[in-house]
Amino acid sequence: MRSSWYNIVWLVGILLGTALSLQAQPLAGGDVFTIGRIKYSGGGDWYCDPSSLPNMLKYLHEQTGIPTAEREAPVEPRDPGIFSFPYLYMTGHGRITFSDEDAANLRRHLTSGGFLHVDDCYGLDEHFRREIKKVFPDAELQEIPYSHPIYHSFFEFPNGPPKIHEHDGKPAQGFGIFYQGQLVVYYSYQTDLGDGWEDPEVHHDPEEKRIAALKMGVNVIMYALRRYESATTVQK
Amino acid sequence: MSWDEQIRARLAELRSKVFHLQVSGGLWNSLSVICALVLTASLAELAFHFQPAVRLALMMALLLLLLATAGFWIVYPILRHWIRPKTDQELALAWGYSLSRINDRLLNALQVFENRTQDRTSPELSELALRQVAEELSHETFTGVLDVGSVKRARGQALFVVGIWALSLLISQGSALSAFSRILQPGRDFKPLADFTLALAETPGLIIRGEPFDIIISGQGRLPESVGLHIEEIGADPVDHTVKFDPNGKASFRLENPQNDLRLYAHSADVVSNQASIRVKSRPYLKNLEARWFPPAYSKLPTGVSAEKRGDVSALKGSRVRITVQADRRLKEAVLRITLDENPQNPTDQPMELDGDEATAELLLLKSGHYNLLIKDNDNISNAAPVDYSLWPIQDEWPTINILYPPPEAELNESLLIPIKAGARDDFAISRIRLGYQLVKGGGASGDSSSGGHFSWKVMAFSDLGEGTALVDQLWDLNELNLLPGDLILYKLEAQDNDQVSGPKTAETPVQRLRFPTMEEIFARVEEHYGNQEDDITEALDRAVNMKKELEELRTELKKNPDLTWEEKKKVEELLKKQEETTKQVEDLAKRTDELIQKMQENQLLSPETMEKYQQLQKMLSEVMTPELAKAMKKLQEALKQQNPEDLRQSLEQFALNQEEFQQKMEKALNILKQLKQEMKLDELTKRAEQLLEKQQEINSKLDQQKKPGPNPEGAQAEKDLQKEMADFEKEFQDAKEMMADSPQNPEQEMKAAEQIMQENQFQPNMGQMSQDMQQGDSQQAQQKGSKLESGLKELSQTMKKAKESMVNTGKQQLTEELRKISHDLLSLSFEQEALMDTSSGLDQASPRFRTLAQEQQTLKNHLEETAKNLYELSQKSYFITPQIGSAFDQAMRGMDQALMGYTARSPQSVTGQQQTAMGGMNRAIMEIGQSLDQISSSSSSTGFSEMMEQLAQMSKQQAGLNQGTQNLIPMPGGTNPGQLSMQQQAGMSRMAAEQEALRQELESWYKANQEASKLMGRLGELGEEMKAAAEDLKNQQVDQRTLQRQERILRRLLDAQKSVREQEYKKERLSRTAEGPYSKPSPDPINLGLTPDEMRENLLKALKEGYSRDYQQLIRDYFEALSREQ
Repeated sequence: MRSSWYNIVWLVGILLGTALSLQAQPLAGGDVFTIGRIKYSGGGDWYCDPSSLPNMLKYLHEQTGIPTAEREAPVEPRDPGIFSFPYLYMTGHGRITFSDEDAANLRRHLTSGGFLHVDDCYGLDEHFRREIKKVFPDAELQEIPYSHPIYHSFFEFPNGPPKIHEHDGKPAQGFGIFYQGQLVVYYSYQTDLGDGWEDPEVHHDPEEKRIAALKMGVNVIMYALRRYESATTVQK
Repeated sequence: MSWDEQIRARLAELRSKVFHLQVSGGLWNSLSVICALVLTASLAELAFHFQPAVRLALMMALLLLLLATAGFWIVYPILRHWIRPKTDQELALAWGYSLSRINDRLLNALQVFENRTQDRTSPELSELALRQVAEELSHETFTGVLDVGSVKRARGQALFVVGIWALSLLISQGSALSAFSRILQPGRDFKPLADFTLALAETPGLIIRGEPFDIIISGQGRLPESVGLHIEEIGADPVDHTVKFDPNGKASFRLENPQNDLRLYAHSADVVSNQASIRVKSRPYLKNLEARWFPPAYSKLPTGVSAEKRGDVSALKGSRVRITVQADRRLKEAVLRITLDENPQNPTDQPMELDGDEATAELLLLKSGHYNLLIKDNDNISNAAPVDYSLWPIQDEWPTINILYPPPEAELNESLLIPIKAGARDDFAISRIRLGYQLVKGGGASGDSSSGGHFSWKVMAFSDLGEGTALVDQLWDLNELNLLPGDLILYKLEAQDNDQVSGPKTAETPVQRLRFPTMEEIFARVEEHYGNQEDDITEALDRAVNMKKELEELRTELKKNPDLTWEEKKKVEELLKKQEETTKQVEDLAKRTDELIQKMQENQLLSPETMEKYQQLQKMLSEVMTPELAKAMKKLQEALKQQNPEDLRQSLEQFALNQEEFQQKMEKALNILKQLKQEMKLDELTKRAEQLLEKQQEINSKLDQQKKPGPNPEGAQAEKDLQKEMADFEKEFQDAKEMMADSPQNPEQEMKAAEQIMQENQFQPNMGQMSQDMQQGDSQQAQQKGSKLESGLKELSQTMKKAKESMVNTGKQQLTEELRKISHDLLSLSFEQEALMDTSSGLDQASPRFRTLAQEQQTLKNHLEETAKNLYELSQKSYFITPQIGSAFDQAMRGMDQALMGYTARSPQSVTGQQQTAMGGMNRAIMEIGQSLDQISSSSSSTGFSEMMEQLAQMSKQQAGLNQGTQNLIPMPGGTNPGQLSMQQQAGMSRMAAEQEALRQELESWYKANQEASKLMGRLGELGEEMKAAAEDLKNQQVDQRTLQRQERILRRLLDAQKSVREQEYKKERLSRTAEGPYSKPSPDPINLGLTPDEMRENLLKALKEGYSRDYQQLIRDYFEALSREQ
């Protein structure tokens, strides 16, 4: 009962917010929503899982009706254009390096309505944990309780993030950084959502795994859009 | 005692002596008479050989005479003495008369004394008289009264007669005795004596069974010509042999094969010799023999045993041999007789230990020879013909050792670490392996050095693989030798076996050479290889072109006549063979390229970008034999066999397609190689510039530290050498400039800048001048020049780096632009195709527009072909044109072709469907190009690869240093205070423990940071444990060979890891799978978001004041409330 109420509140809020924001400020990519893929330095494969984000965008459109672009847009953290992306996505397997300029720009965006989703595609953990400190030196990554709205924003995930791929046999976890009580960075660890978003023939995952990953993606994006809408509306 | 008693005692003594004298005299006399009688009777019998009656009479007479003699001479005196012994008076008188001054006074005194009562003689007077005589006689003996002479005479007579008797016996050779015997046996009839006698010569009581034995018969008298020899052997019938006498009266007979105890005598008529009984006994023999040897302990060989009843011994030198024999009987003596080959004339006898019928002896097997076993039984019979058993000491063989790696002539890379792999072998075990090395500075004057100098030695750890095999697999760190490029190391390995008998033996490998090459040498080699590569690829390309031509001819021929002639089939076979050879040639080239890449990487000669490209080239070359090509070739071969024209045609078509692809690859490889050549040249120049700078800095640093003012010939020479290197650099620079002149990626600006720097700085003249200044001792001037040169070289080095970067970026930029243009063209074509499709969709089948639209479609197709051509040209220069792009183009092309056919067939549905396909293909190509563009933008050194490699290399270097330090601290056997560490050493060990631990932590960090690479490297994770153990050893100061081996393993793995990472970088595959297991975990605790309820309320109020509609305000309120509840 409680979760249904939550869903209604969120859905209405998001739809309303989206409609308002489309009037107030166009989303990156013109009139359609797209994902900003963080193109970081350091050598890690920021571009990995190439079919994941187009699929995610398509699924988002199918499930929510939000108009979406076909592809994501790569964006460097230092790029001022980053502010056009309410939802930033970052993934990879290896090294990440944020310059001071990168960190400052990201922080500016994340503290003014932006949202960063970091998806560990295995091998990213240590680098990300180190580099995010440059962005939020005082904040700690905290594991997000399953009652948090991010797990209920559109679809229900009562047991937290779904486990899509396994590498080390660990359970899936969702961590976050909160700024002024708001979740601004969501870090999906040991879940490998991105792999689940890819074309079925890439990893040959069962359909239910892929759908679970995509649903979780919808939740994160919806949460981010909500936050973006809320922040930009408040600023207005 | 009274005088009377004294006198009477003496007289009793005299009486006894007289009696004994008489009896002894009687005995002698009796003997004389008896011997004379017996002799006389014997001689009479001998002479006359009496009849029994006479002999009886004679015997009786003889007996009577003997009795009479004995009665007279012996019995009578005894009886007389017993019955009526001599009185005291008689004796006193006789004794007194034997003494003239006494005469009868003794008798008188005795009589007076006896008769003193009757005669009333005064007792005193009678006693006095007796006393006087007694006193006079007290000192007198009985000599005068005893007739000792008559006894002596009787004795002499008796001895004389006995002598005569013995003599007669001797002379008569027993005949006299026989005659006497006959007298004593009067009742027996003795035959008269023959004319001769026979006797067996003395025979041994024991003879050997089966061995001949000579029986000798001697005869006396008038001998017959022959005699009979009677032999009785137990268990056999008696046998009589006739034996002839020789002139000496001897007859002999050889008994060839006595088997049992014998009794024998000789006889002739009535004459019979004495009998002889002889025991016959076999010789002892060995029932059992066992030789058991115990090899020296070091050999760890098992105990050996000879074959049954075979005593030959062939065992390791130094073995202890125990020989045990068992005879057929109890032994009295056994001897082991050893005869050595080196001294066959002087065998040595070694008594064996006896135990009943067994005997044992031990010997130490050191020299070759043989032995015999000599045994004797209790009858002193020895064994017959003792067998020779060989003694053969097997020599402990010399060990052997071979260096498996590096080859005899090898080169060091910048790490100055080289693995040494060697196999040593011995028939038992290797006890030590040493590495001997000798540094030849500058590689020796002539470049060729002998191994005559002094070698330093270093003990190598090795693994004992058992069965005498040892394996050295160790990393040799030559950093401690402070090598300079151009130096030469001569080295060899020495293996020592564990022979504890003859002493350890050693074997050495031939001397091998390790060169630390100069950079110029490596570059020269790389260039040479490059030239070969270019030639090889060109050749492969030429062959591919020719093959293509021949294939075309064949295909044409096949179209004319589906059945191939025998010659044509042969041609196809040849083509296949050629293709196979060419592919193999290219694959070999790929292998060589891989080796070159490794060498360049080890020496860090190329930039990461160039290295990446080179590796991609290598990969492409190694994969020329695609599965499709292999399949096409196989199919063609099968079609040739089956002789089905249709199959053959199709197979040939398929093969032609793949062959064309092969040709394209070769063209691409050649183009890329040309491009690489330029990049490599720039890399080389960059590296050379760096080295020039480093060397100048070193010279300057030494100059600054020069304490004494004055000439500095060493520095001057170094600067002069640098001047030469600068000249080489400038020459290389000009070559590079010319080479890149026409290249679209020519970093012209940077090259000009570099040239200008060289002109401005006048490096060569200034270096020459600086060298002169140092030679002349003008340090100040030299320092000024050095500083200026350093600054100029720094600028030059940086400019060269920029030139390289510029070249790479230009290339990427050009590629990006061209790809974008293609992408743009494709997008336009796609739009146009869409428009055409829209137009075509509503057409009626009878519409006259089909022709026009078909022409438009043809135009679009032409444009697409043009774009495809551009793409193909681009693909010849870059790897970023992926097969997926080609496939998308293919789809678009096929769609357009089919659409054209649809127009011809006036089928609007088919047209639009195919146009849709064409559009899909084009769109997909655009998307793929987009991805390639993304990859291009990220394909700089920022891939992290080089950084990762650098970290690994750094860790390897640190570990190598630690290993060296540990080795220095291990107490060497025989050193002073082995096992004890000085305070300084203890401190050093603690420091190294800390360093090892730090390195472990660094590895862990690296491991976490590079998990994917780590996974590809297999057991690298275990390194942490190894490092931990090594650190513990160091910390506890329990460092031994095991610690060193552990550290070697660590270093080896770190080095291997670098190789693995390099190899795997280009075939990354993510190791992940769909999650299947239960992964649920309880929800984490609620988070303190840092917002107090007041802050939340404040935010809510602030939001509500923004002037939203009522509904929206309600939503905001609900949101914050929900948030508050979460809190």
